[in-house]
Amino acid sequence: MLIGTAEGVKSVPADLVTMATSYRVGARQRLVSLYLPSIAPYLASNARVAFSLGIKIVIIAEVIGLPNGVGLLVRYWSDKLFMAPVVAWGLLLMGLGLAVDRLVFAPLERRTRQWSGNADAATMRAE
Amino acid sequence: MTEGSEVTEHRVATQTEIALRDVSLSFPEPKGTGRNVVYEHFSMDIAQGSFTVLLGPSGCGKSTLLNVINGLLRPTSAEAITVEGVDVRHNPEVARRMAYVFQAPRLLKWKTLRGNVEFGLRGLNVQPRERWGELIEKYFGAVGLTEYMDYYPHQVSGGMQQRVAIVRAWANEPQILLMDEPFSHLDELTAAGLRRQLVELWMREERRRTIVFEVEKELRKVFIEKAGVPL
Repeated sequence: MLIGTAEGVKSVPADLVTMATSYRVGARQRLVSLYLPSIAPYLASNARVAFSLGIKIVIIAEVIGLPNGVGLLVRYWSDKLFMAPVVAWGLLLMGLGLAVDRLVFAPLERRTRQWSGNADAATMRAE
Repeated sequence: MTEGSEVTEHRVATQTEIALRDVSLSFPEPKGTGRNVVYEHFSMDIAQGSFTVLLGPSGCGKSTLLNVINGLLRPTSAEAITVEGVDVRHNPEVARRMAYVFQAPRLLKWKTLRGNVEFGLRGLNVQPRERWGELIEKYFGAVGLTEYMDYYPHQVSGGMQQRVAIVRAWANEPQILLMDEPFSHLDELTAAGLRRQLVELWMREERRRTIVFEVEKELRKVFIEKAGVPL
């Protein structure tokens, strides 16, 4: 997340930064009106990746050493060589991950891209 | 400035608004140990209320001069760079008396045209908030964009975006307007219309602003004729 956000900050166009400097824009306004909208798509993309990685890491942690949670159940049934609940949990988690990704993160990312003007919005030429 | 550049000034008042004294500026060359000299002991005065046109070929240092006046760039050495007698290097607040129109509109894509003008107003912070609405209406009206105020930059043409950049500067009602080839990337018809609008806006003001406008030499005839500025 941090590396991605740093990349996003680097991608803020230099000409906009110069414009803001010439208009003596203060630090708070710079952050809210210039940097945050510029890096919002990066933040959303990184959150999406972090979420999918996070689920996997939590399950693995539960399998390895935690005394409760889905991972413990998966390990219990796996140790019993009874694979149906393992596969069921796997499918459930995949579905849950996919649903959250499609219903929360994809629209969020799309929205932030539109907000920061990076979407391929249909350009309406009024002149 | 480098050879081939010149300054044409239409004097309305004689009081000096901007003074540059003994300005030298050089950059290290990307390869080698030499330095690329932009100015060497350069001095000039710009009168209050004047429309000063900096003419010169590309790369002669016109934009750099505007950046130096605006405090965006520090010269290698200078005796003084003053606005109304106050040195911009030691008193950065004096730069709030200036507004800058760049070669490209440099609008924030995520803000409406009105939002972009408010961004400039909030930044320079020289106009009271209660006047913003009136100023925005006035200057959007002056450039014929009243009905587009709530559009986003990608929804209007390049010429309209550049007009918004002019409104962003002008709405602050700055004493000094710095314009860096603001119409150079537009087609000649649009550029001619915008030049006319700019001069009309300037002529209409009771207390005329000081405008420092830079333009490449090839365009001088077109602009000077439109502006009615004697050579």
